[in-house]
Amino acid sequence: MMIIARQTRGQARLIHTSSKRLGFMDWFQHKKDQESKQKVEKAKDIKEVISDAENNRVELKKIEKIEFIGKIKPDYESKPIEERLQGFKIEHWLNKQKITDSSEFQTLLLQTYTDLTQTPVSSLTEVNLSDLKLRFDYTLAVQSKSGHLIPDFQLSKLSTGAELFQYFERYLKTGEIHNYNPHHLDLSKLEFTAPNITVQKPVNSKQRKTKFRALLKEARAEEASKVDQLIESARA
Amino acid sequence: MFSKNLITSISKSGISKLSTATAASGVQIHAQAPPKYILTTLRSFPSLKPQTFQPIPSTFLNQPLRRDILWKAVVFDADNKRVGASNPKGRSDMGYSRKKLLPQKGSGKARSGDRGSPIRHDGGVALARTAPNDHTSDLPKKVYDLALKVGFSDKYRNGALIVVNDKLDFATSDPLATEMFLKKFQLKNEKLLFVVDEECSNMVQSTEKYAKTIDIVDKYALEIKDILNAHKVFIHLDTLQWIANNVEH
Repeated sequence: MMIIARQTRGQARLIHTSSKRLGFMDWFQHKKDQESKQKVEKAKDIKEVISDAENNRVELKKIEKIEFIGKIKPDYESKPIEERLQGFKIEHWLNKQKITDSSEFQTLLLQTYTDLTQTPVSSLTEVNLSDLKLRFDYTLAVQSKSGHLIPDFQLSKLSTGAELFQYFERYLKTGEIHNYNPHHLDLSKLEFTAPNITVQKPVNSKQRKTKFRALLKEARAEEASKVDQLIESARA
Repeated sequence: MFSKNLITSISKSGISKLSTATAASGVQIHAQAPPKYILTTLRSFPSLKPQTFQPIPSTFLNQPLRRDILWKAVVFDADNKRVGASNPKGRSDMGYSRKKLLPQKGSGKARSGDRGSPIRHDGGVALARTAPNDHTSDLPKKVYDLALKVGFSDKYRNGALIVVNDKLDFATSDPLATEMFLKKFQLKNEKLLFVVDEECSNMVQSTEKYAKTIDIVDKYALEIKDILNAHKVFIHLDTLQWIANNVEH
């Protein structure tokens, strides 16, 4: 059958259609399909399945291991773990449970110092860490018991237990140490409490000029008076 | 007799100094001398258990942060890495005639040169180059060395420099070792840099799975960008000492 689909400028575009003709052999295949369909067991009714499950009449088939087809495992995965590690082990020295409570950490600091030096202390300022040998042993014990790794820079600056406690409060407890700052902009306020360090207020150019002029005027006047005095003394 | 002008001119410099110190107190700024050395903890590997303290000069590991110096060093490295494979055609490489297309005057059109002129849409490239192009730049060794010191100092101050006293290698080449190490110290999503000075084939194979986050660099090939990119830098004491001896102080 020929249908004229579009008429443009006298040209006819023709689409050819015809009904589907089944081959003679297809009939046999069709029959075969019908036979195979009949063999397939019908799924149980959902109510029946539920009642079976409720009465524990369902048999569960356990699958030992799921094996994916086409997935190639590397050689090492089939080996036993001892053979894979070849004696590799990580010595356990850091407590898995990290201390997060301030009072607990404070007690740990005091107790560790007492254990190491055999001198009981009541406050963290009494924990003197100026001796490097003691500082190493002390900080090692504190790190292993608390579960926190303390950076070398902090250990370098330590002199008392109070500073260690401050570090715990400021960084370890808050977890701020783990937040990376790519721009290295630390917006925390620096506290200069040391008696020998002062931070001066900036002097702007206008203030500087005014001060300079005043000082210059003063100096000139003083020099003039000195000269006058010299002249007078010379006359005398 | 003293000249009045002379006295004034002599004391002027002294006065200008005084004028800047309006808010000055009796105490000098930064009166406290900086420490001559800082402490690093020598650790065993892979347990990272502290073994002892190791003092290191402040001039090497406690340099103040100088971003300008770091920038210079990074640009220097990046310049030297450029292959320079660009090979654009110039006006003489286009294969066109060298004849002037129009007379200079009298045509009523704009002035024009030959067909390969860079001003034309299908002309050659002005300032054409022939590969390989050299993009290398110079940087005084002193400046690059300072950048290395600044980089290491920054990592040290942030607790990201881990100095190791044992060999920087695993006992096995199995990836399980790396996984155990990363899990133990919660380093799974962090960029790590291992600066090594000897063969560590086990570690190279073991960390292959984490090649995106773990870098293993020989001490001779260490660049400032490697240090800056890493969240944690693992280095053997001998390697650190070698770098400290090779940089200018």
